[in-house]
Amino acid sequence: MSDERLRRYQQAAALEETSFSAFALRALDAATEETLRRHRTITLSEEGMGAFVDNLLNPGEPGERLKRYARMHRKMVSGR
Amino acid sequence: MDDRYQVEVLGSQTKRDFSCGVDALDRYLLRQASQDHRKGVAVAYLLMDTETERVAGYYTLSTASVRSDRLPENMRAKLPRYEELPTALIGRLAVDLRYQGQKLGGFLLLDALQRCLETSEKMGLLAVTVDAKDDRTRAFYEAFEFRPFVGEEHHLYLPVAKIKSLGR
Repeated sequence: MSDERLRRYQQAAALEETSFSAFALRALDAATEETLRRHRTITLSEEGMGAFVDNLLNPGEPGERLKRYARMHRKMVSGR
Repeated sequence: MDDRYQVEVLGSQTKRDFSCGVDALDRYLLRQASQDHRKGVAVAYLLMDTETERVAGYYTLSTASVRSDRLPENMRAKLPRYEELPTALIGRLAVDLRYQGQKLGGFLLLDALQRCLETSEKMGLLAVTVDAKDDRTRAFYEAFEFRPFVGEEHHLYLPVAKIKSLGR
């Protein structure tokens, strides 16, 4: 890291009235949060993935409530 | 209700007086939704009351995925080349307090599901997921047959194949 870059970080940390390490950690937290949010990836165990794939392949028939709301939705949007 | 309500992509609608009872959801619509839309991170759909021009509710959709470090046998056999399975995420869904009790939450959810079904016909999309942050949210989605991921119990999903069997 160049001296100039380090000085800029230290200056920013001072402006926020915090230490360089606390400032760096906060910036890292924000970047991590943003990256995770952007990627929105759920990581499953082998067992969890197996159950998910089983359900994708054999989802079963939708129940009455889901069907009722689907009909209501169709009716409401058909008037658009 | 028929043609009183209309679902529109977020644009220049007046969102200022939207109030659903959860601050974070109100604030999101007011401050963050347009920015996320511009960045291409999430698209917000608004339920507009065409009589009053008010936002009665909204939901957001974005792409997401499900992966695993070790692929299970059934996946190797059926979906062999994919380590990550594409999904959609309903990031937020809210109904304004003045419009609650009219089944509009369920309407919005079905609207989101239908939109995901349409998307799945244009690009790969296997399930719709949601992060159920509290018991009330969880109960809402479970009543519409979402189920939890094994080991990730606060994330729920509904297979697109099931939406498909609801018809269009």
